[in-house]
Amino acid sequence: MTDAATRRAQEFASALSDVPVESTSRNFTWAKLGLVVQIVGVAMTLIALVLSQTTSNPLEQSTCISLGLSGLALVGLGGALFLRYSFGQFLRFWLLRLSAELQHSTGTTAPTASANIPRGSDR
Amino acid sequence: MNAAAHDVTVDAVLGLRGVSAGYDSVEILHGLDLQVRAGEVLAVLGPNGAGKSTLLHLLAGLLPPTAGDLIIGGRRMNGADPTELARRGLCLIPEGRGMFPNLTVEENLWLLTNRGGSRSQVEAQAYARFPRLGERRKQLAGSMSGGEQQMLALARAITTDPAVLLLDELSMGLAPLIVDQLYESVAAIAATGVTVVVVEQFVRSVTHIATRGVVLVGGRFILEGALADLSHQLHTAYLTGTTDEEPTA
Repeated sequence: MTDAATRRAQEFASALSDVPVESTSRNFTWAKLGLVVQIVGVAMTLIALVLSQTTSNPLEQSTCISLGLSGLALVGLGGALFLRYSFGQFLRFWLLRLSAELQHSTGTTAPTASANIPRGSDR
Repeated sequence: MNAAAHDVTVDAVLGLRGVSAGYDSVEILHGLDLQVRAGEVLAVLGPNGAGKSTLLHLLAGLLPPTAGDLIIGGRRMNGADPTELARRGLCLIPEGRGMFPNLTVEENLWLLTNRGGSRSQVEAQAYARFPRLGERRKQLAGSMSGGEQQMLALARAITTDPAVLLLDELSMGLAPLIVDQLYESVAAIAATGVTVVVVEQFVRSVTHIATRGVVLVGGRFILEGALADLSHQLHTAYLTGTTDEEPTA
């Protein structure tokens, strides 16, 4: 084993020290969180709507308006989170698919990647 | 027989301990043990359908093991995100060359700047190793010859400065002379301390660069050792899935 190899191996091992294992994708977690935040936002808005119908007190209605607006803000935030982290995944897949299709149409070999390992391909 | 059976030690850059893997319910690799030491060039040989590409996907983190431990950098890394592994220096050049055919050579290299290097640095490194790519810089990668496409794929390996390089059948569909030239480049990369695992069907392609070889047949390692020794037994191993020492009945 050369010094260069040892140094590289040590650098590699140290770079890997903070890589999480046995975990679901971070993107997936954020996308799920976005979905949950959206649902909470919709629920808050609906609750505000129902509450506002049951009172004629302007102070309580102001509270309902605040609650409803907060709910709508959460829907917006959750939607943004969901789109950001689900679209990232989708666009990567779409890019790979586009590339594979173009390669197929030009008669060259398609690259393989995690998203497009075909079943029954050469193992 | 599991020819490569041994404990994975801490200085193993890559290792497998009783690893099985497959696609859905179909198990392709069965209880593999392997260790690849720092700076080593390991050749994985085997016939079509032996599980060689699956093994590389497993080592790159693209395919999670269904049993056993995948060791990378001395640490158990089952289920690690392959993107994170790639960012930290695990480079896979897949079968099929792994470049974008609808982009020019320059644009393909441009994509490699995501690891921090500038465009001019990446291009300078690539063209210094492969002057032919410099001549073809404005050409669509898909319109180049197979050897040139493979050079572009290897340029990725040089410019991203990997610690581990996984190569899947570099020689596929190429003339022997071109294959020799490409493996000279691989040897130059390995000489800088990069650990290399190369999958090949034919031992001739890797004779000059591999320090050790393992033979994979039917998802199991059946031979391990110096390439010169393995080459005499490959015929029997590929045809029968056993070694010369074992009765084939």
